[in-house]
This record gives sequence, structure tokens and C-alpha cells, in this order.
Amino acid sequence: MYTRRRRMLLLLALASTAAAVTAGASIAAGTSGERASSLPKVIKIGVILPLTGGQATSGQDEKRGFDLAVQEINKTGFGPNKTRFQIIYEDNQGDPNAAVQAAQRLVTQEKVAAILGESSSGTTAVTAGVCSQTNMLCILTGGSNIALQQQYGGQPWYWHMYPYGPTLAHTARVFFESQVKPRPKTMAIIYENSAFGTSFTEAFKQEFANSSIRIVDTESFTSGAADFSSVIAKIRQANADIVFFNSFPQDTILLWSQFRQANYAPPIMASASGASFPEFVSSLKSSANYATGIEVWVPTVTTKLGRAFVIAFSKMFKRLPTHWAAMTYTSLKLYEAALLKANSTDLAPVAKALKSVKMDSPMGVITFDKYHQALRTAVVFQIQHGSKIVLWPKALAQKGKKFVYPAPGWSKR
Amino acid sequence: MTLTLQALINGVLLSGIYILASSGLTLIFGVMGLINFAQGELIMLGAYLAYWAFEVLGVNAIAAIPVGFAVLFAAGVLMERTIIRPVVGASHLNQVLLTFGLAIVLQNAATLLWSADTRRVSAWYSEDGISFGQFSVGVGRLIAFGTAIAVTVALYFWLARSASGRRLRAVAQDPVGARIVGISPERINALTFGVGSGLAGVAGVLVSFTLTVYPTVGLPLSLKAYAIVVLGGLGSVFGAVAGSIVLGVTESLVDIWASPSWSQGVAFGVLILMLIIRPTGLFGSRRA
Repeated sequence: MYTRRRRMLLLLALASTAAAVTAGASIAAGTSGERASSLPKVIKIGVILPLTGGQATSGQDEKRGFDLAVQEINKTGFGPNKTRFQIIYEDNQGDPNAAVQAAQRLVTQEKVAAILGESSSGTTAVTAGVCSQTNMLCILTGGSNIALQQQYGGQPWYWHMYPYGPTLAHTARVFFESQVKPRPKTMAIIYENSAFGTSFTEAFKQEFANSSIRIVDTESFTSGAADFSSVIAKIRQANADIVFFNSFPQDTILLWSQFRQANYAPPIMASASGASFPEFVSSLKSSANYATGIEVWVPTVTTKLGRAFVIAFSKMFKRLPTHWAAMTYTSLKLYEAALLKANSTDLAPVAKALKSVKMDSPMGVITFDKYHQALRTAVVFQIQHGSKIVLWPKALAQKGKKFVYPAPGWSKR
Repeated sequence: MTLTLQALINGVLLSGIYILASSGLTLIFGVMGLINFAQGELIMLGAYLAYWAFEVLGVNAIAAIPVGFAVLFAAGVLMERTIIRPVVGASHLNQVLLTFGLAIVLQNAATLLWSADTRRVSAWYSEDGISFGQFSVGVGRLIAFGTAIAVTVALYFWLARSASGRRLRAVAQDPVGARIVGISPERINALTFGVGSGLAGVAGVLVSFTLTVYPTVGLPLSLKAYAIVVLGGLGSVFGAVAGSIVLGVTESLVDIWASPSWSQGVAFGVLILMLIIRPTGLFGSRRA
């Protein structure tokens, strides 16, 4: 009886696997059937972003990056057919459920050639899931959770831009250990408790496990909280040399202002996301000074293409870009370069082209590693007189600028 | 002990914005029987009003408090006449769907008009704190709490002593009886929704210099206001004040004793508990 049941279960499992493979194959065939063997006049691509909701600050800036790139590319078109991009934007509202629906719609109804975009780790994971099931090429700009790489890294359809948490944690450790004198001894971390903050904090714990800088306190909160006074009181008791914020921009700004209200100014206040947004300075004014930021890119990085991008972006949108805009801009240019090389929109040749791509961009020279990760370094900056001064790595550091440590009290900023 | 005392102070001050967010909500429910899921978005509009008045016209956000009330009062009356009136007296499901839809429209309109950027009134009263011994409090929080208490006292006296306040209470108690004695429930509903929106406007002005301003800032406040209204008793302004202080202090203590990650859940834990143990809330009547 037991053996018979096992056999039946095995048969059922085989049948469902066969059905799934057939369904997957038919979706893939349906999609590739739409794809021409050479480049068509118009290539439809899907872009999923948090255009509304709590993460819209990132999403809107990502959209600006795509808008600028597509305007530049479509001006003349590319390849022998003067191919142009048509972008179908989908709003995931920062919600994984909405992201799944958006990705499925782009694949099955819009029949796009590739999916680009994404922001938070939570929505990026589900979009990657849909791409995995349907063999849809995706170049994902968001998602810092290293679990994404562990699950999908190296798959021909999976290409990823934003550095994972460990990269930023490593950059932070190297900078604090080698550039800050006297070397800080302790660190406290405040983080928001979604996939972004949690995975970043986990990466920091691992990175600093063998460091002379000890993590003495970690405090989590839910994004959108109104009051941090009690957390600040707890952090103050820990008396850490570095207080690090793994939080979204609106939470980081509120936390910062409440640190000031509590008249508590740790020697280093650093952030992995919030301080890089323009509204950090515009909202906090002089209180933003001496904030330290670890980020993949800032608009004060002075490479030739970086400067050109900042000028073009500022002209078009009357504001400075963030790393989100730089990443989406670069991701579309990467896709264009791969399409030109592959002369096809099919997954295999485009993946092959992406693997060997070496492209200069506003974010430096881009290549993909064996896990299909594009950006593998980060910069350290400090806000001085309202401007983001790049201090690390040395090759990008602004000449004559020094890290101010310890940061002066609030009244002297 | 110091931490706990600091948490108590923080909790009481935090309740200032909660009081204004929930007073408007409970007033609207008490008189009109309307579940208004767009209350948070009215707060958001008040916050943007104060922010733009500060940034563009250089108006002190504290001075913008009466302006916030007046503008949102007018917007509330207009909304009641055009959008809300058809669902007054309809099923609660219809009310929830309509006001929830209104909330989404207002959020998206704010994103389109003003982008999703986080903004903030940056002035001395939003940045500075006052320290006394081992304790410290933000000046903005003190102003917010003082404003909330002053506005609630004014609301109480208006409801208790003024002729329009008495008419409003008459409609809340018995709309048919009120109509028989010559009171127009429609006019009172417009007035009520206007005052409820005005209170949200004041809360919004306080948000602009104590929190941050972005299109979805009202949503968590709105959800907490519902928990407070259930805790204090549906339709009871006094219950809203008591519920706000209880929730603010509880959240702060949870922050200290457990983790801030838990404090958001506390509001809804309290809501569930109250619905099971005492559905009428701390100060609610059986009719509510």
C-alpha cells in the first residue's frame, strides 16, 4: 500500500513537472516567437519601479534615469535598423504582490523583450522569480540582499546592477579601519526591518565580526515610524563611536532630525542609503553636514562620463541625479550595447553579449562577474557645506578634502 | 529608570499628533456615521500646505496652524457636498470603498504634483531640543502637544457651549428628531466634515515640522487613528484624547522594553483586544 502510494505520488510529481516544463516552454516559445533574428525597428521593454508608495523617492529617480537614457538612444536609434526602445512602465508600489502581477503582465500580455528596473530587495526577489519561471532576461537595478545572488547568480536570464549588502559593508569597514584616526572602536546600527535593512545589517555583522570595531547595539524599526526618541535614548546609552543607519531616505531624515532634537551627536553618523538623496540636504539644511554616506555612486564623482551624465540629467530634470538614476541609465545603455553585439533580442545571444560586455559609463567601466553582478565597489562621502565630498576609494577621492572626525556638535554645523 | 521616564515623556508628546488625527475621525463618525479612510490624506494635504507656505512664502509653520484649519475646513465642506454626501447613510462597505479610493487618488495626485521626495520644514522649532537633567525633548513635539491640547479644549467648548455645537450634537443623537425641530442634518454633516478635515489640517501642519512630508505620510497615521478611535470609543472626542495618550505611551515603552519593530504592531494588537474585550471602547456609548 505504502509503495503504491509512493509510486502514485512520484507519477503525480513527474506529471506536474512535465506540465510545468511544457507551460514554461510554451511561454518561452511564445516570447521568442515574437523576437526577430535581427534587431527590429522597435524593441519593447518592461520596467518595474515603485512609482508610488513609500519607496517612490527611489522609483521616481530610477524612472528619470530611464527617461534620459531612452531619449538619448531613441534620438538616432541604434544598429542597422535604427532600432528604438519602447518602455512599458509598471508601478509595483513597493509591494511584492503588485510586483508579481506587473512582471507577469509584462511577460504574458506585453510580451516584452526584457525586464529592467526594480528597487527594494522584496520586490526584486519576486520579479526575479517570475523571470526565472519564464526565462525572461532581466537587468535588475535594485535588491541588495545577497540571497538574490545565492539563488540566481550566474543564470543566463539574471543580470544585476546594485551592489549587495556585503560590498557596502566591506567598503565601510575598510574606510573606518584605514582612514579614520584615531580608529573608532564601537558601532551601533539602527535599521528598518524589511529585507533591505535586515540584509544590510546582517552583512555588517558578518563584515565586522573580525574587525577591531565592535558592534555594540542594533535597533530595528518599521519604516514609517513617527518617533525614534526612545531608540535614540537606547543608542545613546551604548555610546558608540559610529552610529550607522540602514534605512530608507524618509526614515533617515526623521531619525537625523530627532538625534538633533535629543542633542546627541555621535562622532560619526553614517548611512547606507538615506544621505545620498538630494532631499537629505534640502530637508535637514545644516544638520546634514558631516553625515557620512556609503553608496554605489554620488553625483560628485568626477569621471568624464559621470560629469556628462550629471549635466544632461540636471538640464532635463532641474535636479541632481541619485545613484538610482545613474544605475537605470547605465542598465539601459548596457542592454543597448548587448543587443548591438548580439544582433538579436533572443536570450542566449544577449546573455552571451552581456557576459563579455565592457562598457564605459557614468558609473565607471562596467563588466559583469561570474554571478552576473555589475557594480562591485562603493564610494564613501561626507557632506561638507551641503556638498557630498567623495573621500574613498583614493582613486576617486576629491583632492585636498579631509574626513572631519569627530563631527562637531549640532550647534556648530 | 531614566530610560523609562524618558519613554513616558516621549509617549505623551507623541500623542499630540495622534490626538488631532483621531479627533477629526471620531467626530465625523460620531455625527455622520461615516468611516473616513481618507483622513490620513487630509493630514498629508495639511502638511504640504504648511511646507509650501514655509518654503515659498516664508510663512512660519506655527503661524500656518489656523491657515491649515481654514483651508482644510473649506476643502472638507466641498468634499462633503460633492463626494461624501452620496454615501452618508449608505453601508459601511460603500463608505470604506469610496473613502479608500479617495485616499489613493489624493496620494497619487500628491506624487504627480509634488513628486515622492521627502520634505520637511527646517526651522529652529523643528531642529532644536530642550534638555533638563538627563531628559531631552524636541521643541516641535512640545509645540505639537500644546497645540493638540488647546485645539481639543476649544473643540470641547464649541461642542458643549455654542449653538452650532449643540445642533451638531443633536444630529449625532437623533437626526430625525433634529430635522423635526428645524435642524438640517445635511448642513450639520457638511459642518462636521469641514471641522474634521480642519483638525486633520492642523495635524498636517504639525507633521510638517515634527515628522517628514511625502505623499504617503498620512497612511500610518490614519491606521493608528482608527486604532485610537476604537480604543477610546467610537464617536467620543474625550476617548480619542485618552486613546492617543495610551497608544503613544505604550508605543514608547515597547520601544524601550522590546524593540521599535514591535511598536507598530502594538496599535493593532490594542485594537484587536478592545474589539474582543470591550467593543464600545474606553469611553464609547452602546449606540456607537
